[in-house]
Amino acid sequence: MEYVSAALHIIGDWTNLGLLAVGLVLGSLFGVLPGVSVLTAVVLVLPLTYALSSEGSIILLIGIYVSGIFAGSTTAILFNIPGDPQNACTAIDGYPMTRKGKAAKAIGAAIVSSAIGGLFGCLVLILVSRQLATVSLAFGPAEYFALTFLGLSVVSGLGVSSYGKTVLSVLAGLLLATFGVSEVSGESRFTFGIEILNSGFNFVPVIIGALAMSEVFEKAGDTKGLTGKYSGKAFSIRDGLPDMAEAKAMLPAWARGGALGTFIGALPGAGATVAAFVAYGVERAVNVRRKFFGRGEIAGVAAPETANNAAGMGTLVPLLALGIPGGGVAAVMLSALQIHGLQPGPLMFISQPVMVQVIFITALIANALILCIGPWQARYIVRLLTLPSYLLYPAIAVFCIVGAYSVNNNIFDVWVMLASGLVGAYLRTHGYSVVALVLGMVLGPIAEGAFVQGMIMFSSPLGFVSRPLSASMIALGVVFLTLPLLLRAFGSLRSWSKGANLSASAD
Amino acid sequence: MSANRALIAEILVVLVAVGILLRDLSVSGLTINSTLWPTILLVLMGITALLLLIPVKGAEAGQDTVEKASGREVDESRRRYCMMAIYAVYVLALPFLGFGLATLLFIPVTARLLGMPLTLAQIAVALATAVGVYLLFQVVFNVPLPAGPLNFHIRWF
Repeated sequence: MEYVSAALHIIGDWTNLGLLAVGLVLGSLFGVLPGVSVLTAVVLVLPLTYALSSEGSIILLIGIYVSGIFAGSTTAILFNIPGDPQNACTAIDGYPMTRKGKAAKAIGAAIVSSAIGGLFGCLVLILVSRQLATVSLAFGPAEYFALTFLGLSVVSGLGVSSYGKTVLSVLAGLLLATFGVSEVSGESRFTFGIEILNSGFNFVPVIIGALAMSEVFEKAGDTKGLTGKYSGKAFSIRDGLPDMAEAKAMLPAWARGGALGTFIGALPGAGATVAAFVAYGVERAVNVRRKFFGRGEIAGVAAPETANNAAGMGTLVPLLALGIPGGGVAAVMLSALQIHGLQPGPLMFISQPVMVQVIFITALIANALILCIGPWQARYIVRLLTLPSYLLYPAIAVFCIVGAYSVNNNIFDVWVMLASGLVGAYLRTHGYSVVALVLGMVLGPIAEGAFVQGMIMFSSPLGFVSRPLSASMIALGVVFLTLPLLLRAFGSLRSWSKGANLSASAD
Repeated sequence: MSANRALIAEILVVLVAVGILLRDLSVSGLTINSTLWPTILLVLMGITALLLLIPVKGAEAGQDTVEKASGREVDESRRRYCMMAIYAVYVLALPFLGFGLATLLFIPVTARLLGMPLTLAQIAVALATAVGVYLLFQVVFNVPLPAGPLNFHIRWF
């Protein structure tokens, strides 16, 4: 308790409180725009941490990190432009809610879900970080491959019109992820002698293009736009806060999203984007209102938002418990701690107990403060919906173009974004799943790396089912993958037997 | 019955393909190189595409029928293609004109195409967007935007 009280005393210092506030504002600013990620924000402020105390540095970074993960959901919901890749899934149901005039409800759901996910992840971090880190270290190539297989399988239910087209979209996404220099052998694949293709396709311009730019292309013919879908009155948390019925509908999504998000976040290399997609896919497969997913279902906003914030906290598990950064932001945090002579890991809990408590309590406070930051941010952004389409869409297009450009500071990514916009518009009108394609691109490198490593280890694909954890995940994936086919077969058999009975009775 | 036959055909194709794939992958001395994963993906894509060609329900066959476009739809399509062309020209112009100048030209043209009345407001909106995005990315986020040969950058500090 004395460590907790010492930590509270440090956080309660005006300078540190100010740093937390600055972090939260900076995170929401960086997170809301496409192309500039939370990672960019923490990298940019890292030099500033030299001048700060170790506690002040980590408080600032946690503030940026927590609000940055949430912030991108606002633009994903309002304009179909995810600020960060981890918010891409939120747009699938969030944007249709905006089109139905339920923008405030969607944002309210995202705010509450993010706070719940973050707080859940924090509690796991505080209570079982060492145990979870041990489990995450037991994950070998077989388990990583099984996890990606499971993630991709659950997404097979994402397709609105066709199961086969969704599977094809996932495979196309996986194939697009193989473009460029292979991580296995260093050979170039599908580059056609074009040098810039050696680095492959970055999935951020693809997400911006496939989700946002395709929408701009589509709306180019419709001059009405979103005007009139939102009343234009100031956003109030009272408008958006879920009522009891909505909270009840989101409860399973919060539970599943929180658990999945924290676990996937704790796996090195997986991260919040994978967590959000997997949580959405699982929710879409098992939720009682799964038929309404993709058309503006509130649980479709809750699941990915809970998962990405929980994963944000999960990423800190291997950092604090083992000293291994689980992702880019955790690596920057590790650097910030090392700058001040601190080394995260099991010994930190003994040698720096107050610092550990500062991290835990700051994360808790920052996640709770999403409930204040969210409405503040949404209040201004939501007003943009009242703009006429001739002002709104050119501005969105400029943001998409600049966002894609700023990923690697080259025009090639902008062309990729525009092409993805065209392809996305085509896929959408022909019943293919854009989200499944993007998920394939996100999970592709992890899946390939794990598959090749596994094949080298086992010399046979059967090796992937030789370990209990990977075998169970693959079995679950096979169930999800074959479920639509089996249901169809069952339906056909039932109608056939019904027809046979009818003809028998007629005879 | 035709639906059931198609379904049985689908299941058989999948089982045979998966069997061949598993057998091939289990052959001793299999070379694990950079082509293995893309090959598997291409094979699976081919199988899925083949399965998509098998019509299962009569209703699905009629899904892609092209409806005759009305006059309004033709106008909308024209506007869409026009916008796409403008976006392409804008992206082509970015490295040559720089972000500021290209955006100043791009916004009024697209706004006009989307039905904005031709007023001074168009220029004001274009200026506000260009300056706003420039300030946000170049100054606040320190993300360099295309400067162009005119080096159309304003020194703020």
